[in-house]
Amino acid sequence: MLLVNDLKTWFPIKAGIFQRTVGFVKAVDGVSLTVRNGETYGLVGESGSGKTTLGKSILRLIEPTAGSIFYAGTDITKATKRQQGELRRHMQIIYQDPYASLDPRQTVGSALTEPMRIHRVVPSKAEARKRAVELLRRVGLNEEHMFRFPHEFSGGQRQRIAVARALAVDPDFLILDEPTSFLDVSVQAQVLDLLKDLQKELDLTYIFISHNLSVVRYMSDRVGVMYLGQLVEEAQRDDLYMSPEHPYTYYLIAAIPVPDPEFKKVSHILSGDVPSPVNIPPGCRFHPRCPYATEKCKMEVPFHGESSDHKVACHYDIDFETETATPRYDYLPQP
Amino acid sequence: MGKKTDQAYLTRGETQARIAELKYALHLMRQNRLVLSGSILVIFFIILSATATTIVSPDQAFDLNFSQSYCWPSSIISWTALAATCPQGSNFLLGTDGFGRDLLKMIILAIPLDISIALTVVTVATAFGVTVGSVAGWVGGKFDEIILRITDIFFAFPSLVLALVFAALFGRTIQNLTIAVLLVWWPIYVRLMRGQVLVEREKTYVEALKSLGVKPARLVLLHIMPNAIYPILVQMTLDIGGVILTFSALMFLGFSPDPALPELGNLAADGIGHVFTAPWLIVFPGVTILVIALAFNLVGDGLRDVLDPRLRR
Amino acid sequence: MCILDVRDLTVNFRTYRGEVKALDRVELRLYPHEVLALVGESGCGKSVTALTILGLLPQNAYVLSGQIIFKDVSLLTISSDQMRRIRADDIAAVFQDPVTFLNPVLTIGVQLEEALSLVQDWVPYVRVRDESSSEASSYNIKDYLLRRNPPRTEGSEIKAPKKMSEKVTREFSKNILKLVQLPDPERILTQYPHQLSGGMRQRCMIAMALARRPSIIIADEITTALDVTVQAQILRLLRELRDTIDASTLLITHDLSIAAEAADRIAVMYAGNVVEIATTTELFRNPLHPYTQLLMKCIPDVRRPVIRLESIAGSVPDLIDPPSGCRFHPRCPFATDACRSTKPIIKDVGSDHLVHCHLF
Repeated sequence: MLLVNDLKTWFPIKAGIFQRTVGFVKAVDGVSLTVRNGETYGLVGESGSGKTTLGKSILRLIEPTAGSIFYAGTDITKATKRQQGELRRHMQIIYQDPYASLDPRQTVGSALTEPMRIHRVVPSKAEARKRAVELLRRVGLNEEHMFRFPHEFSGGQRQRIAVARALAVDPDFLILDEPTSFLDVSVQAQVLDLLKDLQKELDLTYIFISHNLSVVRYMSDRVGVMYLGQLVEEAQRDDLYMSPEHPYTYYLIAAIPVPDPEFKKVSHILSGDVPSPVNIPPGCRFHPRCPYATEKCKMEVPFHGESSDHKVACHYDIDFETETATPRYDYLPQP
Repeated sequence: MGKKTDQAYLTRGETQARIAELKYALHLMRQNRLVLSGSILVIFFIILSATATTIVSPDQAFDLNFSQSYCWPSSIISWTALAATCPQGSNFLLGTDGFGRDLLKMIILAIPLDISIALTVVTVATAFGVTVGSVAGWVGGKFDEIILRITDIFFAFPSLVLALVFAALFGRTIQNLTIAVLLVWWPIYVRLMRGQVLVEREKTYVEALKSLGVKPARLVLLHIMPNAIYPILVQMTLDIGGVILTFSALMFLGFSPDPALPELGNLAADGIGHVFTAPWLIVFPGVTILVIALAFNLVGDGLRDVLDPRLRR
Repeated sequence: MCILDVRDLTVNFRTYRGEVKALDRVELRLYPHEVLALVGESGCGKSVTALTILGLLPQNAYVLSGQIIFKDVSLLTISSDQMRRIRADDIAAVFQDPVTFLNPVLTIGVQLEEALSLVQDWVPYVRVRDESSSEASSYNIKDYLLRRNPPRTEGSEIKAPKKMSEKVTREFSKNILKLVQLPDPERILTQYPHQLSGGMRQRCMIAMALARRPSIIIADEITTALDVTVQAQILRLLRELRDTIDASTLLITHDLSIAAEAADRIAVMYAGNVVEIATTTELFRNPLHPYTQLLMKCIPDVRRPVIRLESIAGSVPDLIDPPSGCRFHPRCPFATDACRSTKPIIKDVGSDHLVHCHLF
């Protein structure tokens, strides 16, 4: 359903009196991925990885600098304003911060009926309101919530309202940008279950962006790991979690706190800080923090795969148990 | 359950929600004593303005009687050695002005004039400023730059100088003087609104609405403006006092269209020349200006306190 | 025996819509040299508990009843001046977002100096003529923090004037920063908070807390705003520090997994009550309170296969009008009539495991 081809989103850094462009923040720097109909693609990364920017670029809320995005066959990077308006119906986004994504001066009812009327999903105001009430019920709220303002709700409830609002236009594709990061664990479970149910019921396709690997694992069918603007690994969910190939993925998984005090903690904890996309290291972006890095890693790294299903961007095949790295032989040259 | 979801209920619900919000705001305002007294005063002044002409007939302004000018009714309070006392039998409560008119009555006549001028200036400045400011803030770019430079130019002039020049060029009528004051006040609203729109524009909910397909015009009018308007409301109340002061200052400096005009600044201006013989002429009109400005200021402060934390609630 | 004893603490907030009964007879004890995690979701009162201990409650809050005994001092009855002094050198706090808690216009060095200047008893631990090994300096820091005897003054002049010289303060600051595993402490002292990353800022805050040699460190959601790899580093730091410093830590978090990793004992809070306290191993092996059990089922566990998460029915109660009896009963699958009418009392079920539930 969605094909992203070598997408780049760069933000210019301006300096000086004349505001000349002195450099770029390469938030997304060459990402290609596909999302199939009805699946959930999990996008994992820490801050600075570019995952949120990627999500917003796909929706063209942030304009991509280069590359193309194909949605249901059409290249939306070349879409006209009019086509974009129509696309808005099909592709929606749920934001991370439930306290900021709703207009504080708008009642819930109005927030739900407004997009319906803009896209003419329903023939009349009355219909819109009825549908809004149905949507509220579907996400687990009541009809009396129609007349309340966002600040009267808790975080979990607000996210549900955001979900209801996104569903108001009957979309096919949803980008979920860390929808549960700000929520409590029990509320998170409710919202995640709701999202899963809705996906089955309405045949939706999701891109689920998060830095929380356990949550991503729960929600996704396939997972892509981003680091500094690029995908460093992509695989089927179980494949990724059971046998990660890229060292960054490995450390990311090792860093997840496990609710079991007797679980022996991996002694390897990744050192250094999450870098910023302003100063990107040459060659493999991960090499400054990678304990397996060699001279070769300072050269350009291709993105290739053992099978087309499990892709890794690394020169070496690393055995994490024995901590040995052997060079990969199926090195495909860049086209 | 199904019966409840009928049209009327849903429409009513919206209005009820907003009314409930308003009630909460009013409750918060009532809690602060200063704000409460300010609001009572403001209401008092507004009622007074509305009923002024019934209390005091405007003809009284023309009832000149120079024989009893600059006099103070009783000798109980002796202002200065040179102050004259009014003839026996006259019941002037606050003394007389240079034309022999009852000062209290003149003040009562002056209040509606001043307040209406202030309200006119503030409303027109806000209307204009909000429109231009929001467009400038939203659109940005060249248009924004141009508007900013224009406001800069206006800011560069000391307010009174601008007003004086205008008045001098176009003649001294109340309308012209009002326009002169308006010229001084409008840039603030443009800047203020622009700043607010800039802030709101970056917020997540705006992006969310964009992703839902809401067009810019609707976005600015129905979403950004209601959220951005609060500091403007506060500024409006605070400026009422300021406008009255500016207008009065103009009178002071001799730009009054008619020396006999019952206007607070005008009355006080007369008193300047007679500081030692009739000091009440400065004191009472001055105090009135003070109280009006203070009342509106207190309400403005209260509004600011109410509107800010409530949004964060 | 215990360093901090919170007994029967009840705290209310006065708001427009009514009185919020934020804390309802909270009881907990903090022992020396341990990490006690206070776990609960938002609104359960864990932050309020911390603020009450620190004496930093907002204006509209008041303590209805209860006691907080810290080293034989009743914190709720002393004057605000005395409380301030205790906050200065005996109870330290590290909060969630260092961006707002570090002064943005002062360098780290200046802020650390400020923290150090509040206490003067670190002076004897510094060797002035210290150009040689950094090893010696760190040793002093650990000595200081563990309250061992100060090193003998062989070959070095230790003056103990009223005001420490810049050089000495800088040395000590550097060493404290090294202790929290910050690379290149010399440079960090000259930097401003915004120039550092989140993890580094958090370490600076921990350093500032340690500098005063507190008996208790209250860490309120210190890793929530950090990335997962950085969080792992900070948790490891806490584990290592636990052995090197002579302080107890009250670790407040909403994440049971973090508590599992970093804490010795865990206290679970719900809607203003402490519902269960036990050692970490005991709690995970044998969670007794229904809320604890349900909470554990909510967390997606990376090691187990992906099955549907169970969530807790209903939502957190409004504390203005909390449920009668046990506050959890509307959501509890095992609720009985007793649960609806009377508040449970704390029961000790053995092996230091306390539960606040009628079922036991």
